[in-house]
Amino acid sequence: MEFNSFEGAEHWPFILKINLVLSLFFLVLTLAFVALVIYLRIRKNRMEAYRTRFDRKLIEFFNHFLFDEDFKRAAELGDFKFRYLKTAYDHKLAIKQVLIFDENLKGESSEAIKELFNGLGLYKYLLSDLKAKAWYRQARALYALSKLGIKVPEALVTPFLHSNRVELRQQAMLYFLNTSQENPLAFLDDLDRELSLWQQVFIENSLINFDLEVPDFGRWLNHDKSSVVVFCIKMVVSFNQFQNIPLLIEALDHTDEGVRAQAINSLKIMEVTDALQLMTANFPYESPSNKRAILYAIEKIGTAKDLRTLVSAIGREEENLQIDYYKIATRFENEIPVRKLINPDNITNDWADYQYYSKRVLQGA
Amino acid sequence: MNISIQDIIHVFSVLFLIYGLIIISGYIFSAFFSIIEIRDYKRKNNFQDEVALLQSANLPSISVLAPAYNEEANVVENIRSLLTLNYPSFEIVIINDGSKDNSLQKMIDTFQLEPEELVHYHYIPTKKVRGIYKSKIKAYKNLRVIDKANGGKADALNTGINCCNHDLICCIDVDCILERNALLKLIRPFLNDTKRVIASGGIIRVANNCVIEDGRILEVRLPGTFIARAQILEYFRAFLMGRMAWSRVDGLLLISGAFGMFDKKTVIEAGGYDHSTVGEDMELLVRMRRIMREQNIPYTVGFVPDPLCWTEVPENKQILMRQRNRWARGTVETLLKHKKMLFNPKYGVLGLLSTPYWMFFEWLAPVLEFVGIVFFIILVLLGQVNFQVFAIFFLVVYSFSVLFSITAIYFEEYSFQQYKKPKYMFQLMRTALLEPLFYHPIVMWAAVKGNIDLIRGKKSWGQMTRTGLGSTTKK
Repeated sequence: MEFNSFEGAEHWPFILKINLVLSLFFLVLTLAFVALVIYLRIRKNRMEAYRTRFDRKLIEFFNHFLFDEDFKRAAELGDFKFRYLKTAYDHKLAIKQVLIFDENLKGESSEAIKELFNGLGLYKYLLSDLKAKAWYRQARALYALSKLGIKVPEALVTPFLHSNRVELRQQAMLYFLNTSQENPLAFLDDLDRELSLWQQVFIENSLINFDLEVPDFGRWLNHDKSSVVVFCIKMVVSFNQFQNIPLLIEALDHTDEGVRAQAINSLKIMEVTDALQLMTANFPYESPSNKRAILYAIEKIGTAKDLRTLVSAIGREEENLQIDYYKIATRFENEIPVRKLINPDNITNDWADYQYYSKRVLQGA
Repeated sequence: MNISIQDIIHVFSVLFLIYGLIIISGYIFSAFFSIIEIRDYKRKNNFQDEVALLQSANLPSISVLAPAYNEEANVVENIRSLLTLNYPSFEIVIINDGSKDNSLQKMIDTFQLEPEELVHYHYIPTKKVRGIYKSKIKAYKNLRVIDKANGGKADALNTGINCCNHDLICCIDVDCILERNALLKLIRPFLNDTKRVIASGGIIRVANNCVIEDGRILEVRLPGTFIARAQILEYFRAFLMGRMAWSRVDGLLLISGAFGMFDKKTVIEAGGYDHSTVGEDMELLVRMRRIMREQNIPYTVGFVPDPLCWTEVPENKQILMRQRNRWARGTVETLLKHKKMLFNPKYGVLGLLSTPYWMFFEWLAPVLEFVGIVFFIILVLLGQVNFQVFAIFFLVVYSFSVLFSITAIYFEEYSFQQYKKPKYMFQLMRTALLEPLFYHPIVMWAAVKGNIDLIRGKKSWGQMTRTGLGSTTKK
């Protein structure tokens, strides 16, 4: 072979040359990654140290600005901005501190924080983020604006409601929710996509902290997106909007299974006994999970008689529903001697007899 | 036609080379997609937190299912730790899988458990349930203990599924340490997607030698043994690179049995955990995905790259080999059970990428590697090896292995930087240099042995002795 020494490397077969080149390439890449790891570590440590120092400066300045009456606000703001707010990172840290102060202070201080925010040029910075192409900069800007309740021209935010990125849609919703003075949920009217559970939780959280009057959720109980209807049914319960109970009862006949399930649960929580008649009438046609929900609604707000009427609608093969029935019937043990009549280990075998027994009881025999 | 030994050697050499190139391309693919996924995750999560979620009564309730077998030493402490998880509505269901020790009595005494009426659903057939217990104490009202005849982990989890109350189940190993916000983070894929989410998984980290107090990691330390450190690199590669990449292309086939969340309805539709395989965690997810695909239901599987769960890895060679033997058998069993999916375009990414990847990289890689070594030995015996050529081939493989591990360390540094002390970073780099020589052969042989055991019909898990995190590192 010609390749038995490294001196004659130029005569090596192609495959060997390729391997050697690859080895060297991998080695160089390895060294590059080692250097990157070390660089990242040093950079992160430096940034962390810088952040600690800068946060301290910001906190000191903010405290003077907010609580020191002799503090020359306008002049000091300009000076601080000129001396310290130079890079994008400085701006980000300043915004973060403003958010923390805003979270902890209310009333007059809240107005002063907005003055501080504008004076430091953070509004302009967020506007530039909003206009940027990167979605994460836009989302971050929307988040800060909505948290601080600072308004920007609506035309800048509305398109985000229809963005393909869920994060942008979510932050845009929160923005409208937190900055609106009259109708915080108006954006629901224009919603052309389903609301995710995550969005629902965040909207609910904003509504809990909402200073103005909470809107009447009955307005959206006929929305064409079922997730919006489900969310509004939940909110009817959360905010005790009893005036919407008739609409919730109507929702028991909704075409969407999820909406019906939410209506059953909400009516149970609100203890609307008037809804039981429709629930029991719908029971035979419901999905297994909604049948289960109706049984548990009866457990809370119904009677032994309501429960008995359903026995004939639970098929012999529906073992899991029979178990639910058994569990619930034990709570009405004085009226339904279910423990004596059914062996839970063998429930499907006992069910036909039990159905016959229940029928006779209902007939008053 | 005359075929000489030289010709055979040449053909084999080319085949090994092609295989090596496929492997390298696969790794590059996973590194590329992982970095994009990690970057996106960081961007999505760098300005908001989950604390707001804690206030919502509208979050779905979760049943945490933890099978326990002979866990007397740590079970009480582990349950206490689970009970302190941050989440508005959850229940802890401990399934005592016929323990031979005093686990059950210890739980009954500590948590003042009393028996409930033995009524439960029968979605999935399981071994007999002997009792269901609930605590008399209000503080433990979300704890339930199920006592059943021994049937293995899969059977215990199926019993938990039958007996639990909520629609989302989180299956964990009882001896794992969960981050306080683990449930809040793991549920996010279920909340964020308008498609049906059937499962979500998180990153598992190595807890050996970490400082632990009250079931929480206080300080992340590097383990003292080489074997455990090498596994840290493996976990970096598997989770930060492998699973992140598969998550990006929606091709995840495995959610670790140590910590994963599932949609109960889908699990039941799929028939629950299969106790005829030792890789029940992988098999369940593959089956769930397969069914969804066959029924044309749009769905997804989520993956959260935050380190949410910490586990003890084997520091003993024999135990490590038993574990890897079992993993290899589980992989092969799953792939064989679902061989219909392999290279089948009907299953999309799963059929054309994920299952072939698992076949080539997880199943066949160690086997072919072993065959390669045998082939090399034969060449040596036949005097057909040019050691300079060998050195160059070895160098390329070795340098790529090291590169891959160093890239994984970079990913860790870029994402979560759990190992704060600089000396840990250098120790890990040193481990990356030694791992291909001193650790990899062990796991390769264990995997080969797993294949042999499978052919011989071995079905058992093999005993997994753990030192116990609580006893060694508790502050």
